[in-house]
Amino acid sequence: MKLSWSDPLVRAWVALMALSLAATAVAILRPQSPAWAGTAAGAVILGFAWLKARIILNRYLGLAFVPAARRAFGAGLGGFAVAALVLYALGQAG
Amino acid sequence: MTEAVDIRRNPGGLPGELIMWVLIVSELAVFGAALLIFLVLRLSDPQGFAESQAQLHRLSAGINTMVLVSSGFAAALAARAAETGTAGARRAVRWLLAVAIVLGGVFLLLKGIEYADAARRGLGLEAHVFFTFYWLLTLFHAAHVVAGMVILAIVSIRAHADAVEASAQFWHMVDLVWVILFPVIYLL
Repeated sequence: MKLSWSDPLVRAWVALMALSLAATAVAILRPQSPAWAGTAAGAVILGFAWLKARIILNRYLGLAFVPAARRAFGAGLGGFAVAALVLYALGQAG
Repeated sequence: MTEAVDIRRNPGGLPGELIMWVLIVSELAVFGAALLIFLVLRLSDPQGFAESQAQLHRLSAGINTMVLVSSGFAAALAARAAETGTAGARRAVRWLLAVAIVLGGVFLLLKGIEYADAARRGLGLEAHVFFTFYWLLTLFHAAHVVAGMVILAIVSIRAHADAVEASAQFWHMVDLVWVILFPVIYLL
């Protein structure tokens, strides 16, 4: 079994590793104030989570070739990420 | 370019087992709802939630995320290899599933260290509502990891393509739940 960069599974794994590392780094390095900086960091962290979920669905679970299901899952997870961000931002503002 | 895709059976062309997709949607709905409730409760005490979250090991959880997605990678490669159906492929499938299981064990080991540390510092279920959700959600997820490891181990005995694919789907669901749980509990 040979693996190469042209393999979508390899690219998916590398992207998941990079996004996980980046999200952790953003959380650890983010400034405590002002509040908008925390909200911006939260948006980046949730955006990365949405991307990771899409990669797992599209490449590990094979939805890349099922456009309707891919869009439905993407929208559902996007709705979750937006709702989470709004709740997080409200907490930051309070 | 090789793809691990099977669009033979299900309505809408969903790859793999339809029942696994029902399970994936159900698990995402349950964990997603619980995480949104967690964030709603955070509104009443953002300071307390932030201080509680600061007690967790973000870096360790980040490393664990990389361990779990790497385990998912091994399971995805196993599912793809199983489709070829050759004797050599079967051996590769078993090795790849073993790698996935071992990485699942590493994930649980790191979680165990994290739990032991939290317990030693008195951060139990009742320390704060943050920790009530932390323990319930992460333990529920860890139970899925244990179940997934058992399923992968059983499936690796015969390494039949359909069973390997279904078990890999379950394992990816465990991945998927973790990638939405991790940022909300540990990072936000």
